[in-house]
Amino acid sequence: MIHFKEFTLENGLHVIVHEDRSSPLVCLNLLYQVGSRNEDPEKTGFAHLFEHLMFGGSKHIASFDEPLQKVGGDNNAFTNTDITNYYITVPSNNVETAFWLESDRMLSLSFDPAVLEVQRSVVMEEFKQRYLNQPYGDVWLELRPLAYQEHPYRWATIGKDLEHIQRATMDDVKDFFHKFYVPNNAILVLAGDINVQSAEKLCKKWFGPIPAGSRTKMTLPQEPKQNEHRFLHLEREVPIDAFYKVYHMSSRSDSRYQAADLLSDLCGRGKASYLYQALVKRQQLFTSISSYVSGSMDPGLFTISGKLASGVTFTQAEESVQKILDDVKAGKITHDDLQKAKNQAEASIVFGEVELLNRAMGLAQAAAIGHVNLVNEELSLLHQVDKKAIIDEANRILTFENSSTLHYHAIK
Amino acid sequence: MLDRSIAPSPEPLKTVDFPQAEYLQIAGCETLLLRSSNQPVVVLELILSSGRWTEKRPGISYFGSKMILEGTPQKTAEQISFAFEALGSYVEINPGFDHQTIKLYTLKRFFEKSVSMLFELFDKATFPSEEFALMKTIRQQNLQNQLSKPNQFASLKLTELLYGQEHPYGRIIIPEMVEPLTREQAHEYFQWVLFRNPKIVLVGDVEDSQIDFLNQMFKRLESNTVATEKFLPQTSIGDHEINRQANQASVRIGKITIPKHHPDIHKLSIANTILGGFFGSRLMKNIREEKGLTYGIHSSIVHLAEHSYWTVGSELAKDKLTEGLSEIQKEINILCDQPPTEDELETVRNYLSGKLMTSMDSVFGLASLYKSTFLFGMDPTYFSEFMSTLQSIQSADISEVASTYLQGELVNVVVQ
Repeated sequence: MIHFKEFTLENGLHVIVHEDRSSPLVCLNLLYQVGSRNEDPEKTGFAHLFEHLMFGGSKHIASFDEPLQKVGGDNNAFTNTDITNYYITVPSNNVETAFWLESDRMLSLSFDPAVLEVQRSVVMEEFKQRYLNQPYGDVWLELRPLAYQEHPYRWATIGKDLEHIQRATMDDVKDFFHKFYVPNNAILVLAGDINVQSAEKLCKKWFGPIPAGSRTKMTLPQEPKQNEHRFLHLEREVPIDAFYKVYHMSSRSDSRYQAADLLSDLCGRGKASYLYQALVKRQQLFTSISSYVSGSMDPGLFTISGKLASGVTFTQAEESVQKILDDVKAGKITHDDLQKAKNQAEASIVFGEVELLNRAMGLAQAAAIGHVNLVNEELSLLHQVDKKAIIDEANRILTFENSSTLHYHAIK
Repeated sequence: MLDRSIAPSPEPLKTVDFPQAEYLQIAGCETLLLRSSNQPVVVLELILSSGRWTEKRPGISYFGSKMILEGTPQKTAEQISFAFEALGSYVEINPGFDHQTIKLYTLKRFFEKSVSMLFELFDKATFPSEEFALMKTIRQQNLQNQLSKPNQFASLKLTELLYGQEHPYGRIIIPEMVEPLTREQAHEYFQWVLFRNPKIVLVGDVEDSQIDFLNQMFKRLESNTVATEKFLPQTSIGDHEINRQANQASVRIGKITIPKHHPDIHKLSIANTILGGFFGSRLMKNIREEKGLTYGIHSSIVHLAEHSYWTVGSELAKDKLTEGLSEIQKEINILCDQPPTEDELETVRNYLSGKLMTSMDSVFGLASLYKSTFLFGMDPTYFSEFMSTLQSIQSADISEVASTYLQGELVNVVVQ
C-alpha cells in the first residue's frame, strides 16, 4: 500500500506527496506528459534529445548537476513513447535546492546553441551504442513501423534515423519547450522525508509563479484496426536467428489490460511458461523465448520473441509458436497456471515497492494514466481476472490478421 | 519577489548513520542479517567460495551450480520451475569469479515452502543427461551472442590482458571450451566443490522462527573444502587493437590495483570518483559534455578476492578515437600532476555522502552495501572509515594517490 496526498497549484501543476520517514531523503520526480508519440513525423527523436537539453542550464542557473551534487543529491531522467521523467534524490535538509533547480528549468531553459551542438553528438553516439553497435539492436527500429502505420508509435523514441537528430534547430527546441514543458502538463511527486504541508509551501514558492501554458490537447492519429498479417525478413550479421511476433492490444488504462498482462505471463514469463516449456525444453526448437506486453498509454503491443535453436527453420519455429497459442485460445489454462501467474505478479508488485524512487515513479506514472490510486488497485485488478477473461483476450488479440512477424536472419 | 539567481543556502549534510546489521551463525555458516518489516518479502542468498578458482575444467562451475534446478528423483525440471514460480518465488544462480551465489526471492508467506524446495534440490539434484545437453547448447549460443557484442568483448579482452589467459579472471570462456564438458564432471563439481565455505545473507521481513527454520535446513548442508591453485596475474601492458567493423570504438583501459583492505583504498576511490566515477566527473565533463565524443564514460575500481583492478571504459565515436584516447590520458595525467581545487573536492565529498545515504534507503540497498564488505571478510566499519577519510582528505592527497596508483603500465584495449 502506497499512501499519498495530492493537490493542484493554480497553474495546473498536479502534486502528489508520499511521506515516508524511514530515511532522511526526498525523491522529487517530475513527469512531463510528452514522449515520442507527440513528435512531428519529420522531427522524430526530439522528445529524447530535448531531455538531454534540460541538463544544459536554465534561465538563472548555468549548470543543473553541479549545485545538486554540492548538496549531496543525484539525478537522472528517461524518455519513452509517452512521457519524459526527471528524478532527483536529495538529503531532505537540502530538498529546497531540488525545488530551485527543477522549477527554474520549467520556467525557462538557457537555450544555449553550444549545448544543442554537443548534445546532438552525444545522442548520436547513444543511438549507435544502443541500437547499431549491438547485435539485434535495431529490432524495434524495424518492428515499430511494421506494426504501426498511422500512430506515432511507429517510430522509436530514439528517432527514426540519425538524420532527424542532425537537423534539429534551436527554433524546434523553443517550440517544443513552450508547448509541452508547462506546469499544467506536468506531475510532480515528492516522496520520502517530507510532509504535505512543507511540500505545499515549497511547491507554491518555487513552482507557483510559473505561468500555465496554453496546453492544447493533441489528437494523435489512431492506429486503424489491422486486417492483414504483415511480414518482414531481415538479414544481419548476428550469431543466431531470432523470431519476433507482435499483436495489437489495448492501452494501459483499458479494463482488459490486466487480462492481456496475465496472458503474456502465462505464455512467456519464466521457465514454467507455456512457450518456454514446450519450445525450449520439450521440442528444443528455441533456445530462449518469452512474451510480454508494452503497457503504453495508447493501444500497445503483445510481443513474443525468441532465438532459434541451430538448424531450426523460421517456418518450424512459427508453426510451433502458433500451436501453443491455439491451445491457449482453446482454453487449455489450468487453475494452477492462473494462480501461478497471479502470484508472480504479486511478487513483482511487492518487490517493486521496496525502493522509494520506484514508488515515486509509480505514483507519477499512474497519475499520467489518469488514476493515481492504480498503484494500489493493480493487484486486486489482477486478482479479479478469471480464466474466461484471459481466453477471451487471447482470442481477441492473438489472431493472424492482427499480427506482424519479423524473421531476423543471421548471416555470416 | 523570488530571486531565482540565488541558490537556497545549503545545509551541511547530516552525519551518515550506518544501521546495525546482525551478524550470526546459522548452522555454522557466517550470516549477515538485515531486517525490515516494510514489505512482506525475504531474500536469502548463499555465497559460496566456489567461483572460477575452483574450476578444474574451464567453464564447469556454471553447470555445477545451474544444473541443480534441472531435476531430482521426484521432480522434473518443469515441475521444479513450476513449483517456484507458482509461489511467485524466484531462484537466481550467479556463477562468478570468486563466488557463486544462489539467491532466493520470495514473498514472506512462502518463505518456508520455498526454502524447503531449494534444500530438496541441494540434497537430491540428479543432473539429468538430457537437461545437461540442452543447457550446454543454450550456454554455447549465449556465449556466442555475448562475444559478438563489441562492448562485452572489449571488457572480456581487458581482463584477459590484465590477468593472462590461464588465470581464472583472465580466461575467456568460448563455446569450444564448453563442448567437451560432461554431465558427470558437472555433477562431481556439485557434490565436492560447489558448497565451499558457504556464507549467508538474509534480508527482509525475517522472524526469529524463520532463522530457527534455516538452522534446521542448513544443518543438512555439508560444506565442501577443496584447495585452490595459486595464480599470479600475467599482465600484457600496452596497446591492443581488435578490428570488428563496429559502429563505435569500445575503449577499455585498466591496471591491477590495490585490494579493498589496503590503507589507501578510500583515498584512491575518492580520486577515481573525481576522474570518472560520477556524472560530474572530469572524464564525463570533458569527453561527453564538452566534446560530445561519447554517450558515456566511466572509471571504477573492481574489487576481487586476489587482485583488484582499476578501469576506464567508454564507447567512443570512431572518427574521434585518437582525440578521445588522448583526452582520457590527459585527464589521468592532470589528476596525477595537479591537486583538485577545494571547490571540486567539496562537491565530490557531498556527492559521495549523499550517494552513500541513498544507497541505504531500503533494506536491500543496505544489504548490497554491507555484502560488498562481508564478501571479503570485512565489516561495515569500512564505510565509517570511508566517511572519515572523505571528511579529512586534502587536495594534495588526491594527486599523490593518483600518481601512485593510476599512472603507467596501463593495458589499453580498443575494439572497433
